[in-house]
Amino acid sequence: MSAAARFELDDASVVVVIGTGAGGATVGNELAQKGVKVVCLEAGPRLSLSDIRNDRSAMFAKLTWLDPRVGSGDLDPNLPAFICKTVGGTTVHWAGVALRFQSYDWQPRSTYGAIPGANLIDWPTLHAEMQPWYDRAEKKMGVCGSVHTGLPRLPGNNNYRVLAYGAHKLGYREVHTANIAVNSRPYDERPGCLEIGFCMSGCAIGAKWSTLYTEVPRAEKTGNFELRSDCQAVRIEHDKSGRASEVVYKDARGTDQRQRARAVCVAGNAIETPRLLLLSRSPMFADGLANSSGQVGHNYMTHTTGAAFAVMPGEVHADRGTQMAGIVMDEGRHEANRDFVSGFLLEMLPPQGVLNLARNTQPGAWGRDYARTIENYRNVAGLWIVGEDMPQHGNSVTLDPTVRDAHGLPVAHVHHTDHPNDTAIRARGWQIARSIYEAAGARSVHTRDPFAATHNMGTCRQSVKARDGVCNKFGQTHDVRNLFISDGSQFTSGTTQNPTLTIVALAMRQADYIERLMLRREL
Amino acid sequence: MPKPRSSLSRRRVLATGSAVTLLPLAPLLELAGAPPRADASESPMLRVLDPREAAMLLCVSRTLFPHDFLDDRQYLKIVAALDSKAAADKEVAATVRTALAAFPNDFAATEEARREAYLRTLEGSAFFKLTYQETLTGLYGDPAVAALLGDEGSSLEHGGYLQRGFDDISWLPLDKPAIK
Repeated sequence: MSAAARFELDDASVVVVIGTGAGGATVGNELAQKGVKVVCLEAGPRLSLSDIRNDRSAMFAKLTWLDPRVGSGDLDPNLPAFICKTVGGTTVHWAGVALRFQSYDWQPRSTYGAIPGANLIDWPTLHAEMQPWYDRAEKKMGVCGSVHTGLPRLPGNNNYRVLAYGAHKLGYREVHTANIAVNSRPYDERPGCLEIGFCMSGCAIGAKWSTLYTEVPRAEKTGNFELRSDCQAVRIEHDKSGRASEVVYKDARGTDQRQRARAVCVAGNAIETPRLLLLSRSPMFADGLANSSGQVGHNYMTHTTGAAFAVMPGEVHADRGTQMAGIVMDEGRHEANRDFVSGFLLEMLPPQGVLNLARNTQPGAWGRDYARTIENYRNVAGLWIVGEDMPQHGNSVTLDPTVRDAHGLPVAHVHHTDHPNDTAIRARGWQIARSIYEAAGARSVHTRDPFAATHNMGTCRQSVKARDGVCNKFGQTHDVRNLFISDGSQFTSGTTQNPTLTIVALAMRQADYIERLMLRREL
Repeated sequence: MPKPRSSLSRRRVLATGSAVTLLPLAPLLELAGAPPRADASESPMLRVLDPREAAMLLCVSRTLFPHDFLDDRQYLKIVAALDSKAAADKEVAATVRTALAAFPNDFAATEEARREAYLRTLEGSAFFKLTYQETLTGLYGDPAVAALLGDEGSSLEHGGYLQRGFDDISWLPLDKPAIK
């Protein structure tokens, strides 16, 4: 960290990156490696590995974005999404599942056809052009099961063994411990997984890829990168020509600071990114920065999720070991003759302790039968459904008209309701989950509704035409040529895959594009 | 279970400061059938609730999440936590006392199915939400209770489960089932 650079507030040669998650820290590090000067703003604090404990409640409080937000529709009114406010962003919390989009995923509108109520368009990005970036992203992150790392897949824990047994019995074939960015053996100066079991509270040994201890310190080592943690961007200013010129942020004391910028990359997650653009409205951009399409904040997607917890006839101890190293992929593809388009994956999910089992198995349940279920904690196996969520114009992130944050700024109002396709996917997912566990001998299976979403996408989407979306295939906004969307907000569709690998691959490609623009003096 | 009677009228409890209305929970432990503690001075004190109310709440929390292997002391911790909340917040105190005043007199003495049926009628009320949340987190958030239920807690200091049974499942057939 000693080499970390310091840049002046009036240094207009820096690229300002907002956010240190999968998108922000990756684009920031890639630019710094290329010799580009970067100031990276992060709203949350910087933790170190020694701050990470096997304590779910304490880590939830430490990592989560708990500043006020408003949820409506089918979302929790107080915690509409579960994303992080810390250096490393949600890569501190993520479970590590790193999957490539399938070829048709880049063309959902062409593949699925017109779906009433869905605001589907094809990505401007093509499957083939992304493959080399996926190769590099897998290598960067240390993805097990990738030929580009040589890392074998992780061994299966007990929860996986139950899932795999049931799934095989039903005839599923694509069942394994997932392509996951958790080291199955030492890789890239990080240790192999010790099967600790608290991945989503932060990996205390750094076996799971997180930008907290990969991209951020490596960027600092270049001498081209300055991290400013506890600094929340609140506005992007532009000059008379409509180019982004500086970023206003609140420093740790709550004081306004202004960092001049050559270009700005926004990666605050699909909720804070559109909020920031909407907060940056001006006479020239009356509906918000880069919002001539009116699409900023719209087409908000999560994944269509749901969970199942099964009481098995013997002990499972599902909380031991890597939390999400188990997947059934057979249902994860679009088939013409189902009552829904696209599909879903089934990913292993442990109960995460007795308290969460009691909270989550059947929220609100109580009484002797339920107490008996909780008494069977040792025998519980579990999984999570990850299905494609249809983009809908009405599912959106807007500025709440009444609630303000500690800085007096309108908070994000997040609205989401299921599309009928989502409902059909979830119903099928629950049914398959039940069948899998019953095939493995379950005594009871409990299905439940989605948790607050950690996969948030689509609110500043890529589009070929400027009227359909916010940015082009490199994340460059259609309206402001030196403003880039660098996170999952740029997703045109949600697909059935967990988003992080694609966020990283897109961020690497974006850094390459920015460098080319700079060399051509177009930025 | 004998019905506890308050030695203080509600009005007097409300009128006097908390310092003079502290009631030890120890007698309640006896009422509830739990063995008394060796040192009664360690037992939590009631600041707002009277013994009848405390005994009712004890039954409420046990009816919500009944675990026969837990003695009443565990549930009394929840009563003590609710009492503290009531002492800190008059609205909470009023919510709890008003709801309990309307309870059937024989609630604590009646069988579990009838207690459960009565509580079902309260679902959605502020009193129910409060006692439900407090019981859920007070009970399962207590590391001692979680451990009794099999929660193994932090594993980092033990080197994780790589050498300690992450894949030790014994009852499932080892072989993959034949694919049809």
